[in-house]
Amino acid sequence: VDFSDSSGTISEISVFLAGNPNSGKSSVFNLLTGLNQKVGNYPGVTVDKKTGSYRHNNIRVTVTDLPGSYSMNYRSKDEQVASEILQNPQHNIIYVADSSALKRSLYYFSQISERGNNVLLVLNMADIADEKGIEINYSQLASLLGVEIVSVNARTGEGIDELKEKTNKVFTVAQRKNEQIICGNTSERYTQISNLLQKTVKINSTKTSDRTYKIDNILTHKYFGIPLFLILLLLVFQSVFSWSQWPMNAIEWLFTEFGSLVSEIIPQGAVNDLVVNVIFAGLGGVMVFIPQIAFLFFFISILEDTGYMARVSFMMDKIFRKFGLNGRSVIPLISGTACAVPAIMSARTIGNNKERIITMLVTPLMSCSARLPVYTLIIALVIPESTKYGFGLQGFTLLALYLIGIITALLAAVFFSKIINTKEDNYYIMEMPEYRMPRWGNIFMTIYEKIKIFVVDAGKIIIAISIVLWFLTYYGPSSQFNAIEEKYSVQFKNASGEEEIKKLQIQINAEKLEASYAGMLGHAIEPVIEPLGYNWKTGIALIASFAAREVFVGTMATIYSVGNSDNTQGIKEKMEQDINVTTGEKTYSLAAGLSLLLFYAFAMQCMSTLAVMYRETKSIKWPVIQFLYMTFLAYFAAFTVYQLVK
Amino acid sequence: MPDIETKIFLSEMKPGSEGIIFSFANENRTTEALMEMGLLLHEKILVERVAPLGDPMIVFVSGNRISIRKNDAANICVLSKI
Repeated sequence: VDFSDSSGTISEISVFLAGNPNSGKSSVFNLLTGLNQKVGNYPGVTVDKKTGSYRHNNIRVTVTDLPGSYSMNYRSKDEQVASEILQNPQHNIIYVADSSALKRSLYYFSQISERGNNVLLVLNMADIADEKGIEINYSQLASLLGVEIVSVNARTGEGIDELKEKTNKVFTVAQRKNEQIICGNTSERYTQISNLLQKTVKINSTKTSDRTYKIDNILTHKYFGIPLFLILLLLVFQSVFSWSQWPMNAIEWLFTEFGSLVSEIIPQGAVNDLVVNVIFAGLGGVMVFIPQIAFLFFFISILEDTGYMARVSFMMDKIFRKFGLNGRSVIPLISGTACAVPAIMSARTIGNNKERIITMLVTPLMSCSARLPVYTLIIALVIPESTKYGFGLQGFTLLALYLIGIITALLAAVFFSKIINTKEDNYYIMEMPEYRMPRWGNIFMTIYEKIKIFVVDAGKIIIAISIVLWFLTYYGPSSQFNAIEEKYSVQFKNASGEEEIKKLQIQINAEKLEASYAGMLGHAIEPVIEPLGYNWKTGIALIASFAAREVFVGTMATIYSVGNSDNTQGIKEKMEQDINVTTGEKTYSLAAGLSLLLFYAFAMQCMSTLAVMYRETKSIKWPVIQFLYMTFLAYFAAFTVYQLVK
Repeated sequence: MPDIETKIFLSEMKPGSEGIIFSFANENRTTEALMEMGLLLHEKILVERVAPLGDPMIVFVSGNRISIRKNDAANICVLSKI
């Protein structure tokens, strides 16, 4: 049938994709729309709205992928969104059913189709049904249900053209005749569905495959199940960590090189500094997360797509529910030891909204890799190199910091699970999907989507904060800046040799930083941070390292006129020599050092994490709560340890 | 020895054992959700396995493989052959 009219104008239809979780709905969506999709918002809720479009025979079809659900009786916000859209009898619906679990699939279908919408039924995963010996009489089923049926194998793309054809046909006619034959309460519906399937489906039991059962015997084994998972997890994070390393270095190198190239073209001054430090360093600071996000989601999507993630939840549920978390929280929490940004994004796999929020709130307490440079510097500064009971004290301190992070994260989870109210039911019922090979198309689509979301949505916020931080450190009251310039201009004239000029430049930078707005802020917060054992210099570093924790080291290098942040030894020596004028003792005593370590273990010193938290919860509330509770925790811990050890 | 049918709570059933769902001790949102997943009266149910730490469990019912917690399973009475 040709639907294009003679003038060649395009008519438009809009359809909604509905179905159970694990029905392959997303694969069908990806096959229909390809890369032509975008993620938006449903008004007023935090649920992602995935839409895409394609053209077939002069008809433009807009497809919206609804959150998967088992029933119109919603139990979560995602399911509520789906139910409310499906309740509108004007909406066109493509219902994706799992051919290998027709009974359950048709239950939700019966609730949807009784409203008289135009519905097209897609029977997906014909391959798995075939393996299980399921034979479906499509034409008979279609006539009994009163709908058009398309058989699709989303894995191979088989049947997609027919789906597009029938979509055009079904949704361009007026309302369908409502011939609903399944109705009543849950058990009545199931009885009617069973009767219907008895007529239309043959199960060749000799072909029945119990592959999933056999795989589960190994992967969820009483003794080996959990150790196997931990080994797998270790391998995954080891790969994420080591594989991301060189692309991250390459991205950093690229942006630094470009920055210095551009810096030579633009005349020295504020514009130059802005371009180099904000545009290049800031953009580089966003892009540098891409390798970690890509690799982490590569593995997570495989775990999810094969069906293994549901088993992780099954095995870890007993432990994690005690802390108000979900079995799946183990992935974000452990990813958090590398970086909280991809970790928080990976919490999306947790279905329960409350458990997901709690997981995201506590994940940044896990010691991420950006804390390591700070830890290393401070530990080298205040912890003696001696060994006790065969343990190096420095190594022991580092281990203790990691453990403190884990324990605090779990305790914070308990705390939040007590205080966060939810309208959602707190219940645990989970389908254990059949094991299957990963669908690579879906996996690369997920990676692409995650990177896009991070770069576009979180990137905007990160660049904006970078500009503010840059302004604070680069500018100050002009009278003071002029005085510094004047003071050094004479010395610059008298300087002989490049070496000396370089030295002067480092000194001038240090003085300017102290006179800058950030420096003023550092001085201003001194009374607040004094009880923690810090002076204004630490104050500046605390403010500047809000951009990212590792900035602490670089800022310290500038303040102490060391020049190069790679020169850890130099920074350490300068910090060691810093004497507190009032007490006459070392500024970085053991007490102040421990206090600083704990402060960095707990404080929310990372704008990228806050930006991603905002993106994932779509609310300013959660990043603010996260920032406040972590800062409070950091201050309290640092204060206590400093006052006790002092 | 002939098979004896006894009523037993789903939570107490051993992995590998099966029975017929006999009754729900009390009906709440969870049992409602379970029914929608196919845990219906008179339906055959098989306890496939229990998690390594003893809870939750995986049951096979109405063609679905579902993981449920033992405290929810304690709500479901099953007629089982011993």
